Amino acid sequence: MRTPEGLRWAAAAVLVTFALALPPLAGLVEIVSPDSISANFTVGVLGTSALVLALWAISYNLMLGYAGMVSFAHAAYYGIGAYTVALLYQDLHWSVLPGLALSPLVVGAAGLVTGFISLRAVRLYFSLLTLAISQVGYVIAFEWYSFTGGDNGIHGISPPDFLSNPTVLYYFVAAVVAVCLLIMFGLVRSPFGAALLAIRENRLRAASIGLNVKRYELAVFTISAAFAGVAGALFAIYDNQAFPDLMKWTESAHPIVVTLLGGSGTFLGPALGAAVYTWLANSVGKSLPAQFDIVLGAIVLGIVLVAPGGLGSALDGIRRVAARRRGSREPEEETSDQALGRIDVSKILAIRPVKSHAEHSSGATLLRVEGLSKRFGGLKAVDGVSLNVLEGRRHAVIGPNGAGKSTLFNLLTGQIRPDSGKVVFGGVDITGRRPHQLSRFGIGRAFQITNIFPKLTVLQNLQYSMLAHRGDTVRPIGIADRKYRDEAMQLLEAVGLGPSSRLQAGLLSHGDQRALELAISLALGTRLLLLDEPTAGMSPYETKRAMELVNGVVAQQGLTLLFCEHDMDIVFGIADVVTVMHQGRVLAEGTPEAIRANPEVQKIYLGDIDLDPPQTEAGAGA
Amino acid sequence: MPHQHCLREAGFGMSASTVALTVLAGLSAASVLFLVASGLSLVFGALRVINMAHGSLYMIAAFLTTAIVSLFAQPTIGFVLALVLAPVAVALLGALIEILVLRRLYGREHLLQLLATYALVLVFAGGVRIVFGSQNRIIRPPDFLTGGVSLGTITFPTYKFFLMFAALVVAAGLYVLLYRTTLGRNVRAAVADPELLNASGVNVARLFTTVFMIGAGLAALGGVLISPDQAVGLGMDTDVLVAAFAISVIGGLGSLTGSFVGALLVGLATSFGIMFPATSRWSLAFIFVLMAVVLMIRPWGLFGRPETN
Amino acid sequence: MLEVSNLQVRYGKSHVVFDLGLKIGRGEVLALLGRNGAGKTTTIMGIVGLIGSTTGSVVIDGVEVGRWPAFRRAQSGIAYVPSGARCFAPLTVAENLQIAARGLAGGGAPSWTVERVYEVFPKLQQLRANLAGGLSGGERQMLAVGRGLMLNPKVILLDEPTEGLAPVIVQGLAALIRTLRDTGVGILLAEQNHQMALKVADRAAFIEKGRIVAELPAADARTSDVVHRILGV
Repeated sequence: MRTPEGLRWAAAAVLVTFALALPPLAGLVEIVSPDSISANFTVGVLGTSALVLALWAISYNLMLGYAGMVSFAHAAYYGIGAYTVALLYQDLHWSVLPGLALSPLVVGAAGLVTGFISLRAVRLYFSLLTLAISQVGYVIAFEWYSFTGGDNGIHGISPPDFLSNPTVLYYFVAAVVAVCLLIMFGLVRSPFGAALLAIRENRLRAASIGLNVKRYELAVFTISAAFAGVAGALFAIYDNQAFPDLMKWTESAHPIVVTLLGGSGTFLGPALGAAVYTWLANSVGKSLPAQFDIVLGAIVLGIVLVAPGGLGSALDGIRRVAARRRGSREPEEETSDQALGRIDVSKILAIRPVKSHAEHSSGATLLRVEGLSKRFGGLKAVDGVSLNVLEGRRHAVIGPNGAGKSTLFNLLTGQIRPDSGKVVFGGVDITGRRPHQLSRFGIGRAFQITNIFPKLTVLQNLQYSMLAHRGDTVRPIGIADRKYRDEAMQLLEAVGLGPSSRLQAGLLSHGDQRALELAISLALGTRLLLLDEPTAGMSPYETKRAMELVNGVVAQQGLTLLFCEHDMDIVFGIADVVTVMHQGRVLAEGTPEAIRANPEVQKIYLGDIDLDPPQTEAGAGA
Repeated sequence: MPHQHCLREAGFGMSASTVALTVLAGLSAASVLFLVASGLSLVFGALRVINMAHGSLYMIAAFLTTAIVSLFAQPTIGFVLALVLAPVAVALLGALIEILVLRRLYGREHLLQLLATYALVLVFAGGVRIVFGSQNRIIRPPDFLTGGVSLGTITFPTYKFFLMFAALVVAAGLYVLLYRTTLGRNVRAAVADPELLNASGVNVARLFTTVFMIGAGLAALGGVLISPDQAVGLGMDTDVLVAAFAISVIGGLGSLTGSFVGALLVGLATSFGIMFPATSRWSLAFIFVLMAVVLMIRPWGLFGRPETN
Repeated sequence: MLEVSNLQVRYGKSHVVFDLGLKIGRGEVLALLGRNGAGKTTTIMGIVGLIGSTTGSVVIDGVEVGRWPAFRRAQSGIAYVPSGARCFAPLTVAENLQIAARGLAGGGAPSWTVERVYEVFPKLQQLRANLAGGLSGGERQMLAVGRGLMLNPKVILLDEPTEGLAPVIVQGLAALIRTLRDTGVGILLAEQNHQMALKVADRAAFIEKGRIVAELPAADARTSDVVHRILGV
């Protein structure tokens, strides 16, 4: 459960009001106690720098909080923004305002190029690559004396006269920051933002619902850099200078720490962190710089070890404890059995999926696999496998350990590429296609361990899947949470998850998560449902109910089912056709009865190794 | 004629002695970098953690050295004492870090580990500032290591030869440790399969602490050795860290050979880069460009192994 | 020798092993039979202490170790030989064996030394300076078993040791198991290959979906329809 919407909006309102009222408040304080720091200082230095820091950190959080990317290059973009203004002022004698307007474009371009390079690597290596790139930027700024002024930097940038008053400057900066924040906020609420969240929550699943993950990551990287550039440009305006140290990799720690302080889970969280940080830096930091570092370090350490979600998640933690004391029931305490018991198969049978498949088993070949092979090192995991899956059929693949079933499934879902062979779906050659392309054809995988978006709500899981699948996520405008709400709720009601729609999917019981997966598959218009050992880890009751559910849905909706299982009760209870694999090859195929009666099949399961008793007992040394 | 002038400027008229000096300078720079990078790499290989505070440990040892050396009139006694005490003290600090902070973070996202160790960077930077002040400190090498060694036409500082000698000794020592001792064998096993090691009766948690202490000791050794050679000041921590990152990435995180080769590459590249006026400004950037290229095409470095989950 | 009761193992959200109990006496071979996904490996890993969220009682030679970390259980006499012939690939054969070398708890000369393992597996002696990663499947399996023996175990848990091995090697393994049993070591043999397992075992426990559904003497199991029902098609 997250902090309710109302509370968040209230907190945001407080923050905004405070920001707007800062100059008069500071003036008031100065009148009341003349010994305290001057209003000019408060507004000019603290207030303005806090605003800019907030913008910088929130732009960083687009990557961190919304897309799950950890970059060390954010200082570089800040610096480039500052230099854009500085160089245009110094060399072309432009006023700072056009420089400011140009900065997002310049820095955005830099972000696009460097982001493209950085995204060649993943995870930790991506982060290190951003570090390397930002260092290169720093060295360029430092060394290119003739252009950037070298380690001296560029000084004496004076803003236009109307901005010479600190209070006016403050409101100007506030206005620019507000515009930027509004744009970013609109972005994160839009279907585009929904795609980012899906990617953050479950990269693989995001791909399998139709998102080209790398493209979205590059997009958010570029946008994030552009706004960091605006922050840097504003810095040049209020601090009147630009210098290489702005781009040092250690400076990238600022937005990270600020975001951590305020929490990466909310949009304005980093703004709160910026306010706290600025205040700390200018109180403790000015007088006792060493102590400031220690205090800041201790705070960061404390947050990381105790509440990595920042202040925001600490609040959540407290709420949860309080709720437990009150005795309210937590969803995870319900057992899977109870959860699955709530599923009303008839309700599912009554609804129609997004793409209606009213036609029943037509007997046409939906999936044709020809001579598919995949080798890992010296081992041929899948060796010339061919099979046909007819539309509307329930087709099982069985085989002992190492038979190649999982590899086959990974090949069919695009997770890995085959060495040779062909896969044709609905008449279209889909060999070697990536997962996000396959979902558009209607191939879906379900009942895997990590197949949902844990921190999104149940409703969002469904909505965002639909958005991604229908290609809506390229739109940066609109509110994602309002789209397809009714359709999604209908599906949720049908699988019994109606009451849980606002819960975080990761908190659902096992059985509920499986039901959610099924709902998502239906929402995606899946025609061929692939289940890889769907009942692994389920109790006998869960198994029974889950497979009843699957069976019911598949039968009535005319879906085609291809699954592999070890539980023979399930296989023989559900399947129309059984393919037996052994050591990467297809051994036999036929109706369940035929397979059961096949002596070859019995052999591979029950063993064909017949040992003679050893000649002597003394065999190995004693 | 301008053309010839440029050629000479670009170093094509370099004499053998200049080349030799450049090589030696590169090797001596590589020596300390190797010490620091090998510690970082070792810790990553076994614990799968990137310790941002690694540079801080180096800096702490450097400041400790200057403090100890300034207690004695004779730099020799102080230096030798520091050579023994500083690594030990910093290793103990490392043990504290591993037990109190890192243990809670194994298996969690890398970002949390980076943030936690970064927090330590802040704490240590502040601590060093409070204890030692913010002034740069300079100490002289011990008497028997001052002066220069003449090789034909060139003279090269004795102390820098000592650095190279020390690095070779440590490299040999690490090799012996890893391949000829029980501890080293356990460390290599931990890099390969810590779960299996646990099931084989080895206290992997304690092993991790030991490895971290060794890594810290190596960083500290680097800090001790660099003190008579360069001014010791705040900012040492991050400067050496980013160089150590570059080396470890290029050579391969978790590989001793990789740290060695990487340090050589970086030391020599920087040294040669500085020699040519045309490139001297960009020599620093070159290392990071190389780091970027490696990350793009072969992220596990020249001698590393791809991570198997 | 080894008494497990109330074992509950969870993998994340999935409850995978339910209230499992089994006993292995001195010099007894218990076959744990079940299909893939039935929970054999999870059960063993739970007994050995490699799955953190496991609860239940594990008593070895009278000592309750259910709360002990994995390495201490290994030291107290529970040897785990994982499936897939898992070894330390970058270490030599000799190092792989030495790494598990352990004296006996009460002092005295350990009965299993590297030399003794070489006697049992002469091939390993030949290969002792080779890196484990370069060995064939069968050789690695021998090494894995040898490493388990180096712990001087009271109980040795073998997870599908015959997987992917040639019949000749499987025969050798069977003989080894019999020999070990005769020295008083308790053996848990988890297998899909029930034929071999039932030939060497004294008793057989059948596991299905994380529960023991049948337990009977091996001789009876060979002739009953339990095997067909639980393992067959």
